[in-house]
Amino acid sequence: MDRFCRVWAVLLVLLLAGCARQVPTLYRFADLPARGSCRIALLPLVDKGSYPRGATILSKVLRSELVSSGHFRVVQEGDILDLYRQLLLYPNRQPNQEQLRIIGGRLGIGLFVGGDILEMRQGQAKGGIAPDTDLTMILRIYDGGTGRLLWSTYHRRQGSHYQKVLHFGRINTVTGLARQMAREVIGLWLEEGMEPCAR
Amino acid sequence: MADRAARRPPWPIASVMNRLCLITPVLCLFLAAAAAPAATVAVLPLLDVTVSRNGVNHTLTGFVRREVEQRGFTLVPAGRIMEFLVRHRIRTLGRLDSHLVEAAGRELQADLLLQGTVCQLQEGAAPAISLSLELIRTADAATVWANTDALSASDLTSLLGLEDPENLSDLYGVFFPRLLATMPTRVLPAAGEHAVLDIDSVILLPRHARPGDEISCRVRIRGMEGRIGNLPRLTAWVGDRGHPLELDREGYYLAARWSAADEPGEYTVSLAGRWPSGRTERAVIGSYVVDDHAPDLQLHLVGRELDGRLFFSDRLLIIPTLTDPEPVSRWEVLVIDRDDEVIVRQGAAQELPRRLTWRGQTTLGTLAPDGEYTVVFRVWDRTGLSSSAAQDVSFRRTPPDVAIDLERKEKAVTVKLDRNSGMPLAYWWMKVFAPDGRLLRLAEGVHLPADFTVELPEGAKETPLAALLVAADVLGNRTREKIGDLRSAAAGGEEGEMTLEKEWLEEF
Repeated sequence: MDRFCRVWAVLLVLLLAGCARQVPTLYRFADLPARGSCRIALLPLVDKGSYPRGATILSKVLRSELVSSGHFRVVQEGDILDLYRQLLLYPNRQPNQEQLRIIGGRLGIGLFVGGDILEMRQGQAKGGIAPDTDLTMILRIYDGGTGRLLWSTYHRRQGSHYQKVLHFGRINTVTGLARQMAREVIGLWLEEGMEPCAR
Repeated sequence: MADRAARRPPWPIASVMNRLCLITPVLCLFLAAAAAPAATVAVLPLLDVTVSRNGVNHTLTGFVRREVEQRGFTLVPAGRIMEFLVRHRIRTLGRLDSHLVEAAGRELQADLLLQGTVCQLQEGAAPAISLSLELIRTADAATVWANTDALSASDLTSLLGLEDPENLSDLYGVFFPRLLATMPTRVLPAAGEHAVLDIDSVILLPRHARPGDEISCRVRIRGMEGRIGNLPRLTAWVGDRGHPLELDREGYYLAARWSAADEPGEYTVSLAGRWPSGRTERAVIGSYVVDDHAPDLQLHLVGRELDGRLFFSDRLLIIPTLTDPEPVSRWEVLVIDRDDEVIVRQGAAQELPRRLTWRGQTTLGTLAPDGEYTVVFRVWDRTGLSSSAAQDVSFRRTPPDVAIDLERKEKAVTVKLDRNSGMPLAYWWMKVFAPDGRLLRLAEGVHLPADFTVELPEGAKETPLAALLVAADVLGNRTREKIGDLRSAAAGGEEGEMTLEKEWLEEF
């Protein structure tokens, strides 16, 4: 009986652990600066996936979600790219700490948001049924003053994860999935203590 | 309750006037807002990343324009927007910088600028569309609203499948109103500008300097030509030392020069600007490193060590390492013979290689003779300081020279093996085969000289007995000698001539 109980306990723990993986996973390397989260710069993302222009799409989605959350002032993408040009940086490369410090100093940035797309996929449609979508990303938060890595968030979802009944709830486009995941990550950041702009 | 009502004073004129005074401004504000002209929006052509990195989609731009107009905004004519894009040589849409946004505000008399990107546009079995829009206030280049939406035909599939969308056009009627539903109809004016130095470019050189080296800093302020005489006083600050920037001879940059400090370390340069109005701003513009010591290089050669000396025959691994790792600007490796002649020279202006392999060839591609050589590795750091390390190595490519002495006896042949000089042997073996291919005798060992006897088989007096000798030294150099007929070789006959094998042939 004892053994039986133990097996059930292990199974229950595994089941709960499986459920827990559904949310984005946040790794903290340092605390966010107090009152420094308001003005945010979104760095061009590094695309390690195979979806055409995946980094541009996720970057646009993330930017729009940061703005529409109403909590942050997001620096113009063109201003960041202008400094990339001045610092002779390729947009598909992550700037080093010193370069981030320079960009942050020039634009008066509180936090940088950058990251990698590890996988972005949308299958082929079959018989009028939308294909499944898949996105794996890592989003990182850097200090705007020092360029130091503060937080890193890993998130992986498929469009079918959101399916409720029949086909309802399922996310059928990779952009839709990116938007949903970006919302989840931003929600987690705010929950974990990222300070929004003072209203 | 009745008591409280009884105590309430009747409405005197003063009280009514007070309330009127409060209501009137609110009403005025409301009427003024209602009468205010609608904000002017410049809708830029949409960037279409489904076509290419710089794709444009005029069709969907038309849909967005119509939807924005329906929301009560005044639109800047598309022709004027196109003229603006041409005038400013804007080649990539969807990511205008602040200066272009502000320029659009001025030149197009637009309060707001709407830019967007077509993220997905799929025709076929499962049509889908996704767009990202961004509304920017031109006064301060602040994004005041943004939305991304995506719609797939599968999202609109009903249970009974009645009137389900079949193509992209069927989606537009639902998609565009939904995309712009949250777009604000009125945008608050700019609250206050974020003060930043309007720097166009910075050239800070060198990035790595030795103590006392001259550091040059050149800064260009955006639109400097039109602001001569009204430029801020700029000073480059390194720690607590300020270096004022002056207009250079060409009048293109504001420049300053100073000497790098004696203390090694990283120095951050910030730019402070002071306007005639007294407003001051400060921004980090770069940094440089002062380095006063050469890299500490260690050289490790991987070969065979014998009696404290290093030997190799086939390949020598050269592994350079830095005790205190730092980026290097270039490296060079030399191989010098005993006549001080450089037989190999190789280098590159890049990071230190993890390892190099020398196969005993000169730079010209010929094989170097056996002998003693010195491998020299030199490295330069980013300030140009260099250090080098050297190590001696012996190159031995010649295979062991084994002398075979055969002595014929009545029913046997005595084989005596010896060698003159060279590297110590790793092993040797000799096989003698009967005419039918059977192994007649196997002799093996590690040291020479050695001798052994091969008993001749009974009844096959004059049939040839083939033999194969293999000897290898500790460096891997190998000798293979084949004897066609051991018996006649022992007798000094022609058939027994010994030949050096070039290839491995176990069955001969």
